[in-house]
Amino acid sequence: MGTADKQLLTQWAKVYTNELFTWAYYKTSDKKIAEDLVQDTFLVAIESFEKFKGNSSPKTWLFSILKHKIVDFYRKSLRETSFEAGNAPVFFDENENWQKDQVPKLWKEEEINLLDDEDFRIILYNCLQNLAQRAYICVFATYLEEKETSLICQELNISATNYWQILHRAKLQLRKCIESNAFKL
Amino acid sequence: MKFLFLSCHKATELMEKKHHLKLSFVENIQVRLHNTMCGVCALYEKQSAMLEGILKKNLTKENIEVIENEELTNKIIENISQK
Repeated sequence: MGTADKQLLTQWAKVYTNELFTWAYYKTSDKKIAEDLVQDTFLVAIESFEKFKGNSSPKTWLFSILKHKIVDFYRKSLRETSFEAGNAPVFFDENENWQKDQVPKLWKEEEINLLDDEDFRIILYNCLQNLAQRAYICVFATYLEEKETSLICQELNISATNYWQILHRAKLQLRKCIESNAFKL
Repeated sequence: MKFLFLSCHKATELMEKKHHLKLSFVENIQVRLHNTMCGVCALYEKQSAMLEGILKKNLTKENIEVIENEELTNKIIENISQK
């Protein structure tokens, strides 16, 4: 690799690493994995630099490499993790009725008002971080990326039935987490 | 008639689905019927809708703050220089 090319790539690393890392972090909810994925992205960029003709912006190009890396990661590591997280709470009993300790409580008006301030947002993000990785990824893709269900299923290599089960569980967990953490009047 | 009755598990799953796609005619009736008999799930549906609004409002690209990771940037620059 020539010096000029190296300088250019170094420049890109300075400008785009934080953005790439942030995206990878949100897509995996794991700092170490996100760092590895961004490092891998630049390794590919170094190797295939010749092929980059400047048809797209460097940022678009780097992000497209990263997106492939993320999907690879989903295929490899998520397939092996079991569908149910080990210590996930059980919301329903064997008859599919609510477990006593999981029954939603009535939210008071003054409690609902709390759901709109800055403190609440921190609680919400913490609750999201507590989700199992696969559930977190589904929630992120659904709400933040507003992706089509079929596309999410394809990326994560899961069936639509699985997807709805995961999302259902995630919402049950988030509801409970918010109820127990946001309302401490 | 029995096919119209849902468990709480199934009912709440359909409620979640309903935020994202149109339920079938039968599914809609199943959910409504369940709610008339189950106050807990009726309450869940309200809170679930609230939560849906919260997620849509807070999980937006504008709300993502770029995380500074200087260590990683330096590592990558190091990698490039060694190539």
